[in-house]
Amino acid sequence: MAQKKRSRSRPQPSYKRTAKEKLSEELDLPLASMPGMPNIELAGNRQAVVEGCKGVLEYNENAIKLNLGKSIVKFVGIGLSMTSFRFEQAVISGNILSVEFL
Amino acid sequence: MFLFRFFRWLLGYVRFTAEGGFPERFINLCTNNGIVIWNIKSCSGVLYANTSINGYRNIRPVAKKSGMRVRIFRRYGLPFFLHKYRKRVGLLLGLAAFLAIITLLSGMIWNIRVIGNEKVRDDIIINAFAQSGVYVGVSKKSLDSQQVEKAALNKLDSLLWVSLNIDGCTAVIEVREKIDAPPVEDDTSPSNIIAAQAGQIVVLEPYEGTAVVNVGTAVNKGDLIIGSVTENKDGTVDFQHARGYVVARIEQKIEAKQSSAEKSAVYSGVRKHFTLHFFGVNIPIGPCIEPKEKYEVYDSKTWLEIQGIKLPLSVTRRHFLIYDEKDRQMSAEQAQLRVTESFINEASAKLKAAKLLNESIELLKTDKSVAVAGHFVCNKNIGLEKPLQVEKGG
Repeated sequence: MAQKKRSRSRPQPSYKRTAKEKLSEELDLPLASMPGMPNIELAGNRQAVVEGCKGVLEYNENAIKLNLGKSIVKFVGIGLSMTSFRFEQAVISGNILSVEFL
Repeated sequence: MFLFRFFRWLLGYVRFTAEGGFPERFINLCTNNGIVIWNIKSCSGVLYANTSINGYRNIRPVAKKSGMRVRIFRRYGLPFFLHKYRKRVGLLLGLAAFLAIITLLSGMIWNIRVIGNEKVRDDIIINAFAQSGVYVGVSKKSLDSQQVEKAALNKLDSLLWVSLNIDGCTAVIEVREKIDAPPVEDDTSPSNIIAAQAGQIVVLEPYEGTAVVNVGTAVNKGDLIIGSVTENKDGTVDFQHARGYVVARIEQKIEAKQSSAEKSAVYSGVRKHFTLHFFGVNIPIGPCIEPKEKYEVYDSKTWLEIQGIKLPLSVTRRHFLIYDEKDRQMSAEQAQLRVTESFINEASAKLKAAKLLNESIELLKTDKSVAVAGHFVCNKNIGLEKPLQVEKGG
C-alpha cells in the first residue's frame, strides 16, 4: 500500500510574502534585522519606540499616525506625545489604547 | 540621560508653541530640515515642543510653509541665564572673586594630621614639621616633601621614619616610632659588691669574686662585702665582676609628719581671653591683660570640624584662674589621714622585698601637728654593685 506522500514545503500564509521575509526565513535571521524593515517596540501601553518612521501623517493628543514606508501605523490613546523624532526613530509616550496598521 | 540634559542646558534651548496650520507637516519639515525637536505635545490644537537656540532661528521658514505661528513659551539654559545677568557687573566680579579665592585657597595646607604615633605627642611632631616648612597656610607648591621629611626626621630623635603626604588641603604626616633596644648589662668590667645599708649579715652567697666578710659580721653602709680581686695559686690576681647574694638584718626608721595648718589656694575667679585662628592668621579678640593677683593659666583650643575634618578656623581660650593663698586649718582626722598616707607610701618604698621580723608604729599628736614614727627590723638584700675605679698611672 502506497504511503501518503508528505509535503516537504512549509505551510504558505494566505498573504503575499515579501522578499525580505523570505530571505530572513531562509537565513534564520530575525525579521527586524533586515534593512529598511520598520520595528516597533512597546513598553507596556505607556511608550512605543518606532524605527523606520518616514514621517508624521496625523498628530494630536488622541491619535498619532506614522508613515512606515509601505505601511501606516496609528496609535490611539489619551495624552499622546512624541518625546523624540530623530533619524527615522520616533518615541511616542502616553496612555496607548490601541495600535492599528493601515 | 542626565549628561544629555546637562549638555542641553549648557547650550540652551527653548520651549515654543505652534498653532494653526498643519502640525504633522510642521514636524515632518522640521525633521527634514535638520531641526531637532523633542517633547512634542499637542494640547487643544496647540503644539508644544522644545528645540535648540539655532533650531529656533531656522524654524520660521518651516512654520511659514506649514501655516503655523510659532512663539517662544519659555527659555532654558546657561546662555539665557548669563544674558539675563549680563549688566550686573557686581555679580560677575563676585563670581570671578569666588573662583579666584577657591583657586588660591585650595593651593594651601589648611589641616595637619599625624598618624602612627603612640608615645610621641602630636604637637611635638607638628612643631618639628612647622620648623621644616609645613604649617597651616603654607602653599602646597612650595613644599618639597623629601626635603621636609629629612629635616623633620633630624629634629625628631624618637622617630624612625616619617612620610609627608598631601591629601587635598590636608598634610598627612605618617610616622613610625623607634623601639629602644633592651639595655645590655655589662658583666665583664670589674666591680665590687658593697653594703647599701648598715646591718648584720645573715646570708652570704658569693657567686663570683671573694667574700671579704663572714655571716654574722656587722657592716656599715658602703662597706665592701664581695671583692672583685681573686688571687690565683701562682700569686697573680684577677679582677672579676663580683656577683652574689647578700642578705642582712637591718633596722629601718620611717617617720612622717603633717602640720595641722597648711597653705592652700582659694580660687576667686576666672578671666578668659579668646584668640581666633582664621586661615593661619591669629586674631586676638580684645586685649590680653594679665591679672595683678596670683594666677594659674591654661589654654584650650577648639577647632571647627565637619565630619571629623578640621577646618582652618579655631578658637583658643586662655583661662586665667585667679587665686589667693590662705592658711587652712585641717581637722585632726584629716591630718591623721594625710600623715598615714604619706607614711604608707614611704614604708612601701623603703621596705620593698624585705622580710619583716619586728615592727613598732607610734602615732604622735600635738596641737599643731600629727606624726607617725615606725621602727622596723627586717631581712633585706643589701648588696649593691659598685664598678671598680682603675686609675691609669704613668
